[in-house]
Amino acid sequence: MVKIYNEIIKESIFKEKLDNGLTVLMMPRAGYNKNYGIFAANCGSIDNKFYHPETNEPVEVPDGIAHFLEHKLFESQKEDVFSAFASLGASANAFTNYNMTAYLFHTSDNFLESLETLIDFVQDPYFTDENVEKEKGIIAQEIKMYDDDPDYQVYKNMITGLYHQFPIRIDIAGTVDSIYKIKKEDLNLCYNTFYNPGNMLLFLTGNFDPDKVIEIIKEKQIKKDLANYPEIKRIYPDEPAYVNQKIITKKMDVSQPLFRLGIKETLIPDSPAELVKQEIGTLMLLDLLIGKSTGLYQDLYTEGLLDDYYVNYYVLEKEYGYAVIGGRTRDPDLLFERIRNGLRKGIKEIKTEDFDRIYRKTLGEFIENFNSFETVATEFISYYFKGINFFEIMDIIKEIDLEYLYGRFEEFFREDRFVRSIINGD
Amino acid sequence: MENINCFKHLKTDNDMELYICKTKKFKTNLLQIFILNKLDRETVSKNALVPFILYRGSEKYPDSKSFKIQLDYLYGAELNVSVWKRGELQIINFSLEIVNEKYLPTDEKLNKKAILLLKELVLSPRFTEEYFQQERDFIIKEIKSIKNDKYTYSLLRCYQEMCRNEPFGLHKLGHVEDHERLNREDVYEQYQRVLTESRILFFVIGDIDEDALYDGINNSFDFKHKQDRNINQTYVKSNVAEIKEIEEKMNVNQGKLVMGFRTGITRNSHLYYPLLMYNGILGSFPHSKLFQSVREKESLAYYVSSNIETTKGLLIITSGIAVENYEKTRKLIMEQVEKMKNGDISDDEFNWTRASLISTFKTMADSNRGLSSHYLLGLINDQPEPVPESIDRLNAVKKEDLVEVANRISLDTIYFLNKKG
Repeated sequence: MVKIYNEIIKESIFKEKLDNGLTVLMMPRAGYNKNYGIFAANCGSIDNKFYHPETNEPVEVPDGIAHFLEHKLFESQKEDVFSAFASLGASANAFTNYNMTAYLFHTSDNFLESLETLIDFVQDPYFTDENVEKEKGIIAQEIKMYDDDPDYQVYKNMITGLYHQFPIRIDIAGTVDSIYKIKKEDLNLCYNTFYNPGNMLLFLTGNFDPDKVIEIIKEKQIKKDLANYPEIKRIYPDEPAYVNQKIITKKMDVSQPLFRLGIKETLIPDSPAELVKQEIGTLMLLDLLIGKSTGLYQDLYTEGLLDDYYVNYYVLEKEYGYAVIGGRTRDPDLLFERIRNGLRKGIKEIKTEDFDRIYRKTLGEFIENFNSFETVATEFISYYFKGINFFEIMDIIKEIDLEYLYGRFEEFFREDRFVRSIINGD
Repeated sequence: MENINCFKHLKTDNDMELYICKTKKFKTNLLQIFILNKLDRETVSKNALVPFILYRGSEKYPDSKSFKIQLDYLYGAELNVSVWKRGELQIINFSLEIVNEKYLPTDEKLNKKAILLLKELVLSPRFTEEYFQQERDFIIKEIKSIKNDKYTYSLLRCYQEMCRNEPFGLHKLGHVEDHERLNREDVYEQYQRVLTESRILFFVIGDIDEDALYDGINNSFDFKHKQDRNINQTYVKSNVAEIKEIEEKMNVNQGKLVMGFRTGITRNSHLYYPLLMYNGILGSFPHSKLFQSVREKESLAYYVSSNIETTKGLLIITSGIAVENYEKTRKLIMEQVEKMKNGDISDDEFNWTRASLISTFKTMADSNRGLSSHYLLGLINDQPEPVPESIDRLNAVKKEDLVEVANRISLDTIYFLNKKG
């Protein structure tokens, strides 16, 4: 087991790769009553086409399968999984995003028993025609809930405007039609392809002794004999650099229009460190150009073109990337013009002191992450799947300077990569 | 176990209450100010505007950009202003969270700077006509936009109909038509009244030097203040004369069913812990009756749960369903409520709920904001409860107590957001 100490945070992470391929990360935290465990598979909604692990033929599974699988792993032949956690005083949950599916619990007592319950239910699928059928009504209501959510709709339309082919344009939960096509055989295929220990990560944090915990995990994993599995071969479509649709408008029951400007990323570095540098650098750049401490944001706010429910962020994964800027507005067209001109003007006005300020902010936010078990766990997992240890982030950030950001501006803020998504009131 | 009664109770020279929790657990220090006001139609809109106008600019930080620049500079400190409702109290909240300097390559005294920033915000506002006008427009838009989020909207509508003639029915941000009639002077006067007369609680959580912090706050916040002690006058109603049924139609894909009950049980009632158990068994966990029946057995909903408000004494059940399943779901929910009344509770349900609640209590102190908001609720109800005591009292609850709770609970209002056409 490797121990990595971080000078800034003054905490350690313990890392071990088991013989069956499973990676375990542990961060003990003194003084806490809470223990938190999360077991993640590097399998998200974008993994809908791949080579069949046995026949080696390309297969395509129904949209929403990763999320459906997340729901159904809670079935067990022995006892209800929620009940098993409840009997330990623990509570369990799960989530699926574009890139991963994660199962988690938190508890004060019975940490080891809860951990065993978590690992067992994820490693012991139990799908029947009946329990698969039963889930369809539940997931259909989950989908319909998002259909009525204007914030989700304005985002989703932006994504479909940005992408022609790439499967993030498909809803994570799928559609009511696609999930009704799902059969237990589909779930088994996905499970057998993606849920092998080499494609998974277990992250634990709380008040425990890592040496003792790793021994127990090893002992239990050896008994399961999960070591043999074929290589995962995912199939992603070719995605053009230009956007799919420049403007997407929809009507919903909203009090004032919602607006999102999406910007498509076309440059995706191969090296994990470069990937993360670009991710955080672009986030800093957005903050410098149109963050809440800029004159541009203040002007837009004062003119009633944006309010406090304002978003600006950048996402970069190994397969795709995009920026989002937007909020509620009285005039989406005027807001777009103002943002477009403001970005061009803003890049010329950035001073060294502005950069230093945003650097201090980035450092503070990195430290603050460590107040929340949930945040720490999610960050460690998503960076692990990108090939980076989250502790190393600050070293990468130190490489970023203003020159780099100027270069980023030129290559990223190109108007042929802009998409506008608008929700108007009825 | 670090527990929730880590708070040291202090008073400033001008009669503000100061609660300090010294703990090494967090990477940040959290400073919060809560100003407690009676929820009242006359003042609710004015009070709601105050924190947002303050955040627009002060003498030293003349516009919101200057505030934000200073926050970035203080290593991304986070300053939030908000308005809460607890029982029939309207609470103005200022929260500042700042990284503890021991994690930074600096000798800067960040706590001192944080206190000065809060002081600027609260005591030296510019309060211009322009800021008043703009924030009033924003708050009106904000109130109108509640309907965008159908979950929150349906919940609020149920509370509103249920407590139509009680202060609790007021929205925490006030009324659109009242905001339209306000002028800057009304709001400014109200701001000064609130500052001099309301009960003010100051919370600090983090690895701090308690004496230095006390001095810093006591010396900086030396404004004229004398608090009105008897502030929580929440009216707790337990009888329901007639069940109200409200249906509203909008362009939606999913119906929202919200059922409001009166419990008449608040935090200082002897039935408070039995009520926690009751609510847990009925609907706040995945093993609860509502989740198991409505979702797991009948596949009617993705979410269904019950929640309690323990200052006013209310219980709310909420679920998102296909509109054609309205009658069926409503009936199924009432069957679960009926089971609670008949004492139809298994040992597993009872024991699992108790274990889950104990875990919730024990882990509460692991979140700084969770810790303060829980302790605040205890203070409002004159019942700040240390964790070990809460656990003892949960352990003492018997199944019979739940029947007593069940017999006090009555359905008041059924609200249904239906599909148009």
